[in-house]
Amino acid sequence: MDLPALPNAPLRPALCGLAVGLPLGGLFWAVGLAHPIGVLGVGLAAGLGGIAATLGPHPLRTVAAPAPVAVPAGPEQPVAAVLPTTGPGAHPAIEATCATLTDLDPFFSIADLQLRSLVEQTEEAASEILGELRALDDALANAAGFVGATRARMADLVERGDEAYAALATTLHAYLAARLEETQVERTHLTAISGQMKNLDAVTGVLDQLGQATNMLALNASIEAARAGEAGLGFTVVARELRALAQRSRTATNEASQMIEAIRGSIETNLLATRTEQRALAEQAQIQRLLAEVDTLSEAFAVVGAAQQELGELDERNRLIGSQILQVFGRVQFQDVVRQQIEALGSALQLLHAILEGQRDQLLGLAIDPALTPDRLLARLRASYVTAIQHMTHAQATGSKNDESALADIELF
Amino acid sequence: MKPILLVDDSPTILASMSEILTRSGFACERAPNAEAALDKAKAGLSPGLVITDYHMPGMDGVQLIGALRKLPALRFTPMLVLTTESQQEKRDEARKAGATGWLVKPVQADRLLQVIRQVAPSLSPKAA
Repeated sequence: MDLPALPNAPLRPALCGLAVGLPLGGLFWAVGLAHPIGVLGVGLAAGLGGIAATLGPHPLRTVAAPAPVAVPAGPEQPVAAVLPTTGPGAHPAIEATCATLTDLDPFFSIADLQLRSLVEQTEEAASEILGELRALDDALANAAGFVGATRARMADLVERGDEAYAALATTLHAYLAARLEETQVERTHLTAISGQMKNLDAVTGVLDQLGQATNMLALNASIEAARAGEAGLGFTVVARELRALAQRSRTATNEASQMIEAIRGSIETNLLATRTEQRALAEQAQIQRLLAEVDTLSEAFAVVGAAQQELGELDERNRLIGSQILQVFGRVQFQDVVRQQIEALGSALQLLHAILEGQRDQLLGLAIDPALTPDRLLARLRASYVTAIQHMTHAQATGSKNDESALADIELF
Repeated sequence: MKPILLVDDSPTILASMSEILTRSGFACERAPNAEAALDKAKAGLSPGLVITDYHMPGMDGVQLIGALRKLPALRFTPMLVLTTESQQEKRDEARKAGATGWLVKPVQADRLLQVIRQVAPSLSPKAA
């Protein structure tokens, strides 16, 4: 497709500048680099346009207008062959056009340098971004160190918790063992006392039987004494004494039983009361110790729990920061994409420069490179594209169809 | 662990890719152009993966892959092209030359790592 016709010659440089600068500025602006690159791009757009617009009377014009070339007249000869380009007989329009085309030389030099500078600036910006990312990486390493210290502290607390647990278990075991042994001893003592009490019961039983037998003997003696008459009077006295003895024996036996029972009750009451009080005191002290240990353990594990939560949050933060840093490292690839697009624009400018020089040479009647036509310029420009955006923008600008089909960004063969 | 050989004429790409890979636990070897990468390989470097740019001064990335494939040590080494190039015919060239895959810049870090784990699972330190 041919380039659209441009207005008169003095405006062409300005349009060329804007045509190059504005897309370039827009490119950086669209890329969205959070950096002065975008501003530089827009500034370059304005700069190129301004430079081009002021090239007419620009003091950089140092190239003298070439002398007219004598070319034989003919139907295929350039206009310059029949109309002198400079000097008194020169056609004013041709002379002005040649001068303007010559004036474009510094513009292209400036534009080329500006583009190179722009590439360098993007590289410097990318380098700065990478440096800042490394600083973030250092911060992340510090955070990781803090996490490590916290983890060590948590491990220490866990160890202390284990120790407290072990101490508590030991104490409990010792306490239970002592209680078991104490119970066994107590049971043995009680069994012995119970046996002794049973023996005493047996003794009082024998005494009671003796008393009953004595009473029965006294009763029989009284009967026999009465049957014996006066001969048994003496025996009656004995029988009476026997009965009195039996009565006292029964009374004594009953008193002994009551005393034994009283002693038994007193022993059990006093012993158990004493033991219960001692046990209660011991258990209270033991429980207090256990509670103190449990409190210590509880505090330790509360700290551990808080540390674990803190550690988890820090781990999450570090993970997120690390992921973001990785992503931003990837985003820096934009610089290479932009660089290649800028270089493509630089190549396009060089081609445009060559075409304009050819036009000037043609006006001067010099031989020109037939390959330097706008169509071929566009073809070569298009062939230099590497990114899909370049192809798409080209198609959009020229109204042509974009032959680039949508390809996957990642393809494994 | 075998290193990943990064080949790109862009210092920015070399730096950013190296950071991504080393931070993810990979070892990296860098070359600023295809010729330097080939020299390293001929000198005995045996990477577990090659990631190369396409457009570079001198030998391009596809030519590099073709040359590396001729070396017995790298005959079966996975090789990825990481480029801004978007044309299908260039991808076809890369495939014919022996490339394992094609990635268009800019590629997201997590997607890059995912591809590396896929084509070179033995290199993945976090999966090991």
